[in-house]
Amino acid sequence: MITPGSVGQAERRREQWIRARMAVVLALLFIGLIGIGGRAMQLHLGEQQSLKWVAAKQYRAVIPTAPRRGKILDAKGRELAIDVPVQSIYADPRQIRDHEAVLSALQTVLPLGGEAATIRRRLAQGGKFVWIRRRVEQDVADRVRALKRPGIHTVEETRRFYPNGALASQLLGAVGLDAEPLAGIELAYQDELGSQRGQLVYQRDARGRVFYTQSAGERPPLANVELTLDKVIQHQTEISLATAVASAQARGGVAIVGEVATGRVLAMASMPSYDPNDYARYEQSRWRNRAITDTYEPGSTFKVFIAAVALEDGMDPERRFDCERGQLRIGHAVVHDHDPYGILSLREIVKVSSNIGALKVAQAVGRDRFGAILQAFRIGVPTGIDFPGEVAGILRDPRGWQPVEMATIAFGQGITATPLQMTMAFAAIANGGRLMRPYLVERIRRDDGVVMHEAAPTLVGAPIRPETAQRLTELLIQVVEPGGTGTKAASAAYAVAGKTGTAQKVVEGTGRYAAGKYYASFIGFAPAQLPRIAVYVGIDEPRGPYFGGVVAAPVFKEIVEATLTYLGEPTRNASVIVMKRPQETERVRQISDRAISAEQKVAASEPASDSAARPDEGRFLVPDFHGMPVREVMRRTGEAGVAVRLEGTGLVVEQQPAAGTLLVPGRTLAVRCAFPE
Amino acid sequence: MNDEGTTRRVPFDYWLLLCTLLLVGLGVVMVYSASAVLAGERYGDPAYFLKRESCFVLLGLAGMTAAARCPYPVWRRVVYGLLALSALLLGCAYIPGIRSTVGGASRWIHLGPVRFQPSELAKLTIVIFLAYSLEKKAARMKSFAVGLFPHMVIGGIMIVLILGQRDFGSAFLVASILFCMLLVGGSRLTYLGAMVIAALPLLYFAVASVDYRRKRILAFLNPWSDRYGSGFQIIQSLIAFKEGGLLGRGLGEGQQKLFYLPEAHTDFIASVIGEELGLIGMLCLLALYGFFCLRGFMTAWRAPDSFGRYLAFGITVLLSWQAVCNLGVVMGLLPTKGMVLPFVSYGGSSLLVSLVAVGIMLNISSYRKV
Repeated sequence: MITPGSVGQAERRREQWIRARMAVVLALLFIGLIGIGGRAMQLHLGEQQSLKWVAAKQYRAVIPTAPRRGKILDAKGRELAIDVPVQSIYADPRQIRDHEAVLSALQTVLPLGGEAATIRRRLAQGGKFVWIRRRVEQDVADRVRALKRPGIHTVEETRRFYPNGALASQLLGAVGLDAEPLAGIELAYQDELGSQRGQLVYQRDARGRVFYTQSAGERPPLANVELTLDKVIQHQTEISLATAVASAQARGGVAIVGEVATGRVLAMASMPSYDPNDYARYEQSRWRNRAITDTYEPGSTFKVFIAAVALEDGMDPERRFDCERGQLRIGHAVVHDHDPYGILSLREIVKVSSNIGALKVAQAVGRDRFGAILQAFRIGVPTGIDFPGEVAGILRDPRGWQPVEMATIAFGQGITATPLQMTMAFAAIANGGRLMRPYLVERIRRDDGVVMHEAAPTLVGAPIRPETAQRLTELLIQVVEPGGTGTKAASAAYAVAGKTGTAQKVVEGTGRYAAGKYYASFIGFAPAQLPRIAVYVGIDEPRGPYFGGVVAAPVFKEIVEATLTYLGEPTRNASVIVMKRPQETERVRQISDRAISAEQKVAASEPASDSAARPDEGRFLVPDFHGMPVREVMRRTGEAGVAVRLEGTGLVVEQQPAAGTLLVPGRTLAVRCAFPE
Repeated sequence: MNDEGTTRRVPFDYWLLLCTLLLVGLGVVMVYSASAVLAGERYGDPAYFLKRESCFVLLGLAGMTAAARCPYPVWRRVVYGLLALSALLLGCAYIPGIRSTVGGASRWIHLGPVRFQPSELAKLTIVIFLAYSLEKKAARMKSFAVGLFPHMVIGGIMIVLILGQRDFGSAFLVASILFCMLLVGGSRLTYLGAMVIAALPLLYFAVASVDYRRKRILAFLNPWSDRYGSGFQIIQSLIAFKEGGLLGRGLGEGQQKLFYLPEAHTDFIASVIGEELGLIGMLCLLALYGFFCLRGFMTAWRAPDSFGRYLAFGITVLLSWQAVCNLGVVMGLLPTKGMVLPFVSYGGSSLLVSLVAVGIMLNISSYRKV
């Protein structure tokens, strides 16, 4: 029998026990919660490299979609290389149960042909991703989607598209299937053009689908490369060059158009070329940008350096040299001229391109001075153009030149140079003796307007004085005048200056000259009075006629005329003021300013008002004819419709009215000529 | 109530209610965040789970209100009925026409348009039954035949029925409840110790015999050994916490729920909270559960009779222990076993039963000894 008191006591003890045990359970639960809290801190704040790595990896899209690329634009913002969207089809083997059923369904809309076996094997291997077909037409992609087969997906990719086909292909380069740059600007500026780790912009879910790709705002801005190249000039240059190469049945050719004052490359063409849209079809040799990757023995164009150093050292252009009637033995070698010449002045040596004359001049200036001028023009040194693959050419140390070697170098054999080096040297002459560094990329600008890179003209050196450049220009103008070797380069529209070159080619590996293999070139600039562009034309191994003056000079003329016309350069009858725009009128004034010496300048040609046309449109701005031959006077006035009254013969000593006057058509210009004392 | 004269009514525990409502509110928000992408894809309606969860919440709140208004001694009278119902429903889950299988586990039965998880009801039932039985056998709890054996039999049947549905988590919870309540109810510690030792080989057998459970254990021990297989879920969960950092990615900004994290809106919702709300959010969540636990124990402490005390204690342990286990799983401290986070995870049965259980506690809290 239990007493109520003891029951109460036992009850109370039990009660205490219950409470004690409850407290223990409560404590355990709290310990659990605190443990969880500690673990939370560890997980949230701890450094766990493995987790970070997995997270980074799995959020990133592994679908190897081609990342976006920036555009390549020409100087005027015209598109040279762009991305276009295309559809690609892939399979996720994890989601496919019956490979054969899926494959045969696919075959109904997309004939797989020989690839079927490969795809079947890859599907069987498993994994997450198998390409079925890259870059299909939109309707094919639509039809594949319409199959609604699980595990078969389409994804939008981009394809690099060159809207102008082969235009400037050696400069632009090409882009492979997985957006890997293969050559040219595409390769050289991959860091800028390629989207910065493009995959990161995609977020993936665990089923491999891409999320949030539509929010383009999160994508990093793309950078566009803006070239100095002008699409129109490039196009005209390529057409002229291609036509010449084809008609001469030549192995290839190079043409360059450079802006004299800055070193901007306006056009750079190599033949044969290729279409970067379909690059796989062409052999690698067509990818070469021959203007900088190939070297040639320049031939007679090199005589410009002999003339440059002679004039720089104060030699009179009229100084005479014995040209040995076309044949001169030096050591064991015999130097020939294409025509036998007797006594020629320096001026005539350049004009008729006498090899013997050139070497005589070289002997006169001496090895050291000749070597020094070549180094000053940076022959045998890469120009430093912002384009990959440039070579230096070979110019041996002048101190080691043997007499024969110096003799041949004087007329451009026994050394090699790239077409671009020669172009820049001529441009330096045109630029008053200031040698510029050539460049192809004007700026790199992002979509959002941020300029990442901006080129500026760079002066490399000043190999000759401005006066020397002026005198040398006069010699080079003569080359295209009657009796010169480059008459076919003469243009009715623009005064040009330049030099022909016909180099014998060396048989590769032997060092011996190959019979009947020539490199014909013409290098020059225009307009001769105030040069704007320097142009190089080289034709490699023409069949039939092989002289630079025959094969290359006409191409030069074509390119000069097309380019200057396009650039709005006033033609040589610029004195006929027909300018519609003030800046062109300004250009006319500059030219006439140059023609008119400072004292005789008349304030007749006031700067144009801002109105569209000048009231004196169509009138003839009389140039300074003093010292000009009659024929030059006739040529300059010929197209202006101004009658000329001539008195005497020789060079102009007096003119009426004075230079700078404006003549209405129908009025008469009187000049008196005499031979200088 | 058998000792009518010795109790008085006080207002129920507002803190417990507030704490519960905060957890439920957080749950609704997080379920939406975690499931929107999945729902949009599967049902074409990003709010699909949100809408359903909201319905469950309303239903649950109604159930909670009803339970809070119903004097808790009533549960004494329906305890055998509840036991029979639970066993019946658990049995139904074995009948192919009625059961519904999700992910290899047949835990659900169809009740008209909705699915119900009988194990959720079973958990509450076992708490009520034990509270009733422990009170009734109070003095004889030390005896094996009276104090231990009947409870072991009833609990064991429940556990076996639940295990048969491959619901290891619920079985584990029922076993935990059994242990804790017997402990508090006054069973001999030696019996309980023996019980645990006897359970170990059974536990081992239960785990090792079932392939997926063995994999889960292995994955728990070294998730990196099978990164894309059994270890995938836990690694994804750990990544979520890591990515969340101190302040989290922000509500709705989580990435792991984009199908990386399986069952992001149910069992692994804590990962989403961790990723989106960061450590701060996790600590708040833990604080809420801690507070809930505390208020639950205070209710048990102050309960006027043993039945109320055991009932409040059992419910508190049931819900708190479940939260601890779930968080332990998502944080890689415990092996995966399929257990929802009470109040927060998506799931009608769990929410309804949990809220009814809170209602019972609220009712208990409104009685005090004189």
